[in-house]
Amino acid sequence: MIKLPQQETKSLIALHGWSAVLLGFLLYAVVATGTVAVLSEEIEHWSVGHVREGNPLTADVNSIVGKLAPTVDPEFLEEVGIGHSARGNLQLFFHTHRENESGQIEDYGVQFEIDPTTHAVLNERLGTGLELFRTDPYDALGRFLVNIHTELHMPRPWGLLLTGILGLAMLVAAVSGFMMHRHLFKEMFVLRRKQSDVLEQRDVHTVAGTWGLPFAFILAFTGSFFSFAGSFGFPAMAMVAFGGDQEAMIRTVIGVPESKSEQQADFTNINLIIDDAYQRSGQNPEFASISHYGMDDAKITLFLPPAESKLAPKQYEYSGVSGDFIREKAIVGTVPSLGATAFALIAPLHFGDFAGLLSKAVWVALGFASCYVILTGFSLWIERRRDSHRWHLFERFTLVFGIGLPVAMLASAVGYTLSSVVKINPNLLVPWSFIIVSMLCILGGIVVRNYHTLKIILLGLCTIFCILVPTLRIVSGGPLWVTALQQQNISVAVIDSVLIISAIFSLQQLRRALLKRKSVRSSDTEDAAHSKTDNFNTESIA
Amino acid sequence: MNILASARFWLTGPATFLLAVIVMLGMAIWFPKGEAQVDNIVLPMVAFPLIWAILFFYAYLERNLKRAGWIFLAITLLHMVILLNHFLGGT
Repeated sequence: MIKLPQQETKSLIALHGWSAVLLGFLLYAVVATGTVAVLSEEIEHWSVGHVREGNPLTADVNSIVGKLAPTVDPEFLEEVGIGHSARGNLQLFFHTHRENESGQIEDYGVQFEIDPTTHAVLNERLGTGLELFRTDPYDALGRFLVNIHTELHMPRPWGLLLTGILGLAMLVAAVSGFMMHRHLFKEMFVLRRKQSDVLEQRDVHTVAGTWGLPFAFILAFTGSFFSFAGSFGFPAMAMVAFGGDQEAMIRTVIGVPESKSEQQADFTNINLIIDDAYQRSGQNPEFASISHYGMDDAKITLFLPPAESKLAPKQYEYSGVSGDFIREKAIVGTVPSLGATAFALIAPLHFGDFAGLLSKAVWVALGFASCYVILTGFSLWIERRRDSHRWHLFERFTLVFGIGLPVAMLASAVGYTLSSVVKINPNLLVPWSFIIVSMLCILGGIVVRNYHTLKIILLGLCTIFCILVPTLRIVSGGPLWVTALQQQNISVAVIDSVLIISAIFSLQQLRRALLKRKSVRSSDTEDAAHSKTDNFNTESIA
Repeated sequence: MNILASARFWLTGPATFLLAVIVMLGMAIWFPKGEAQVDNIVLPMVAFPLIWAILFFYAYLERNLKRAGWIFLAITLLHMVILLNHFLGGT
């Protein structure tokens, strides 16, 4: 592809291999959980099972807000977030902003979960934004898997920094892989089956890697941006650009009013505003934010999903008193700009949600291919170092990690489905299921001496869990596909189907592993018989 | 070979990362702000992985390591001057 001198090509091959060996396991963890995280919204709906139909923001939001506002601490009227809960109900968070012990500004207030039809209060909790949104039992599974992907369950900012570095490592692997293959486009179509294992693995690695190259580049690039921007990028850039003036930064980036009004005023009818947004965009909002509720500078911001054939979402700003449309707000800043457009494109490109389930399916498939590239890369690395004993240990570790991680993720799903049966909080059972099964996989890797037997056990576990999860979901009271589809919850069928397809794939791999062990055993027996005959002949001659 | 004793390791590893951060921060000052006054904040952050990758592959593949070191030093000094000038009451 790119004709580099031999010395540079050799350097790139070394870089490609060593960067993968040193950071590849963590990268695999981030990519594998990221592949699952693409379906996080579907996993949330699958977890809940009976999700309420339709967008709750199209209900009579105005009456609900008007009824709840007088009951809360007036301080919490500073901002009201209105969205949907995991169960598909209306979720309102009346809150103020306060400085926590570490000097960071956090949301603190009261959260309500409201039935949008009957207006009944289903749940009421007081706390900080992080406490309330990170302890919802209904999205415990999706949240747990997404957190492995984004922060590897490490404290902030270290987890974000590490995943950012892993994103850069993925960028290195993708770019060096592209540069070091001289005949990349030709090799995209070369799969030499029935050749040696090394050749077959090399071809599979190159084919999967080449087809997934643009995807790996986009994901590494956007993922690094998210990690670094979240951990130090935004505060550091704001510090430089605004000389440490956080308020000036917020005014420029978010566009809040410069001073708060103390003058009370009647709040507008938010239902009419949601109708107006639909007239303008053809979309209903997914989220609404009211600032300074009941004051004469109250504003309402509606967050709308991207329109058909568009990538970027929209934000509309309205007066909270007159209900007048003020402007279409940029994602960053108060007027449209190149920076805001670039920023708005990053999320859909990383999450793959720009064309609904279709684009998500493509992202999942390419994520799966990336996992395959990492694991086949490890196999190639080991295959070329077969003579060294320490690389045998590395091979076992690759097997335990490569299959053990999906098994542990499936175990966390088993933990979630069991939580309603054994009456244990899923926020506890999900991580513990993951940890216990991870430990068992590692223990298996230490105890089971035969590599092929270990592979068979891990693949067997994977197959069993893939079948167990949807079975347990139904047994523990989850809806059948027909019921879920009638409730317009297609996520149940989607996730169950993904699990069934995974079970079939795992079973196929299990069959291959069984055949491989059989052939290894028979060749070992033949070798033993040959050596016996050789010994006998030698003794006879002697 | 002890990798920690290799000058190329330090140049491609920590030095490249630090330089990419310094360039990103410096861009907050010299990059055009745009109509919304946010381009100088957002675009350098979006470009950060690319800036890092370009510096990394240059430092890794440049045969003349001294030249790479001098270029890195020059970019660092330039951005440090811009940043110091900004914080000490310049633009």
